[in-house]
Amino acid sequence: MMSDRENLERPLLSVKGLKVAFKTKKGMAYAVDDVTFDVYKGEVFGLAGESGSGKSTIALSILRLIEEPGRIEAGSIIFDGKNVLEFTQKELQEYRWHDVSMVFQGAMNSFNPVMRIGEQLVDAIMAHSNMTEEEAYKRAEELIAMVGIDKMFINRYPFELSGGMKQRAMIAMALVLNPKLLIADEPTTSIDVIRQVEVLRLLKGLQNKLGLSMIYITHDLSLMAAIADRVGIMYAGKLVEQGTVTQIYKTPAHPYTKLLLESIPKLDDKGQRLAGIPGQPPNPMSYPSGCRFHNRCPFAMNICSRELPELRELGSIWPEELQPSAVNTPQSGHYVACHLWDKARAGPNDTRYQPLSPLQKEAQ
Amino acid sequence: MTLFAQDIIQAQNVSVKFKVRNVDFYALKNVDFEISRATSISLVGASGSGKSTLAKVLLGFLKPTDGTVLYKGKNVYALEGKDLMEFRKNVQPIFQDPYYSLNPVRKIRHALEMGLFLSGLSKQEKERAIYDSLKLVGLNPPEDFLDKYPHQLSGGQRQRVAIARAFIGKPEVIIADEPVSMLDVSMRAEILNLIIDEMKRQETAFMFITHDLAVAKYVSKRIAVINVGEIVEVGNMNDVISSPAHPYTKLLMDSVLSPDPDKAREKLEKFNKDAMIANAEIPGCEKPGVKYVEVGEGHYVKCS
Repeated sequence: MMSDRENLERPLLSVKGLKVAFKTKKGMAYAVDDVTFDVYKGEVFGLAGESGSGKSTIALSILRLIEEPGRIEAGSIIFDGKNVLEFTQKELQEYRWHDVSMVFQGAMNSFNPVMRIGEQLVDAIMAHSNMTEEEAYKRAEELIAMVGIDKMFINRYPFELSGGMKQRAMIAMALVLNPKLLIADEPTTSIDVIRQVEVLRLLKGLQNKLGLSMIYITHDLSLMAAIADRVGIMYAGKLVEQGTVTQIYKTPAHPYTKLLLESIPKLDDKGQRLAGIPGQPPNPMSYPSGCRFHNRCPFAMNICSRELPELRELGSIWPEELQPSAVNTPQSGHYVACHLWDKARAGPNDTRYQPLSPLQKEAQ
Repeated sequence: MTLFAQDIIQAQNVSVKFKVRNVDFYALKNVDFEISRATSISLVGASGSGKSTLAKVLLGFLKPTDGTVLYKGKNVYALEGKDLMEFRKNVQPIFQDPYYSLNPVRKIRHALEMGLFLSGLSKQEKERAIYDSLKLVGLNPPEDFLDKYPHQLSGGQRQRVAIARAFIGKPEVIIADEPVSMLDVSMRAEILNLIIDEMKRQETAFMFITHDLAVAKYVSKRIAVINVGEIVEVGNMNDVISSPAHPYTKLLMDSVLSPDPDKAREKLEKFNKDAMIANAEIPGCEKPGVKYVEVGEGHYVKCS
């Protein structure tokens, strides 16, 4: 299904070969390394990964907000047919917030503390449109109602709102100019579980109602499962797997995704022990050679420490190590970067695909 | 909420009151809570519910405005001399943020030595215990870590040190306040397993504070749910999870999404906070003056 769509429809946003580096005292840190994905109209594309995996850097790159000492070194970002990386300052101003807006991480603290909520919305509207103050105020009221905040709060200061309310107000702020794409970067991380679900419901509802496209970024795979249509899994600056939400969760094709899903405690677990993943995510200053996950991967082979696997559509034979729990999920549109997928094709005598010993792993 | 003979720490009718802009605010209100020998209990609630305040009260860090905290029958806030030392040795904390819980100008060795301060072990025995404890928490070989400063370790490694430090003096009780919430998802399961294994091996009583019901279920046999400073439900984990009785517990259960797209979507669609709160009837609460009802064996629910 997905590949039909890929052939027929032009994506709203197309990120290709994106590489972002930060210059540090200790050398270059490649926060995002050769990442490619598309976001279609009206879909929620999820980017999942741990801290430091590059999720937020991708978001900032899309808005051209990477600043010194960071730099977009390679790749292209095409929005609605236009190359974002070649925009002039004026074009950027017309692009940011009009076309693409963002709800930032810890957004509750991004309001100006000495301005009323309503004023801040009106400010944003007037700075980017020809509305009169009266019209802008009306629009602000509409938005506040849309995100489920009582009208009386429009003239309050940020500190007078609860955390959940500020988060909603921030979502209203992101929608003031009717953007086509909304980037939500961990929008619920600092609020408690009940409000989290409410904000998620709100976002999903708005996305349906307004026909928005959305990039949803989180480290929480349970929240992701509830909101995303397609998901990309980030590890150490690389997109290691990409597919529909069903493909990713029911038939994970990368050992990292599979192990990560298995290491989350679930309410309906029957008391089985969680496996966990040994080790820790690598430092962006010193990624392991070859596949960046190989020194934590229980299935690592000789080739894994030497060659970086490419993101490719799944083959037809599932590697025995990754046998999926559900078999009927279509594989088209499901991409993975893992050498295990080549093992089946190689003969049993091909030493490249023999397991890496723990000692060899240690030495990397 | 009976008093069991094996209770090590008991909070009885504890309240903590703060003044906010001259208005009284209760962080805890009439809370009864027990930690019993060799069992684990999770305290679950949202941010601001009073979870951490209760931990501080039980650890002897924050004297409650009203009520008493007993350690083996003695008032914690009146302990002196030897008794106070025994309490400090036997009741150990693990905090949420491993970046703040280790002294930045002292080596890892020092953190562990302090955990053995009251152990009465000889110098050699202490050295041995320190090596063993680092191995146990997966910091192997220990000599690679002993002379490092906290900033030279990652967050996960630091939390392992904090866990080693808490367990090293063989305490009777450990009170852990959100010990995995600052860690990356891929490392959480290992740290939780570490805590569970050590708890079983040393028969330590454990109080685990978390906002995540699924984590609570993984770690503990009992659960207490706290909301706005009051314990609203307490009981055996399986009983509470399979038949939650208080509306707040139900709401909390409805907010737990699972990493399964079908289930998570269904839950998100059905979620209805207002309906949940409206259906707030608990059988047995209609009688006047009833504070808690027992809905099952050892399963208590607060009447609102």
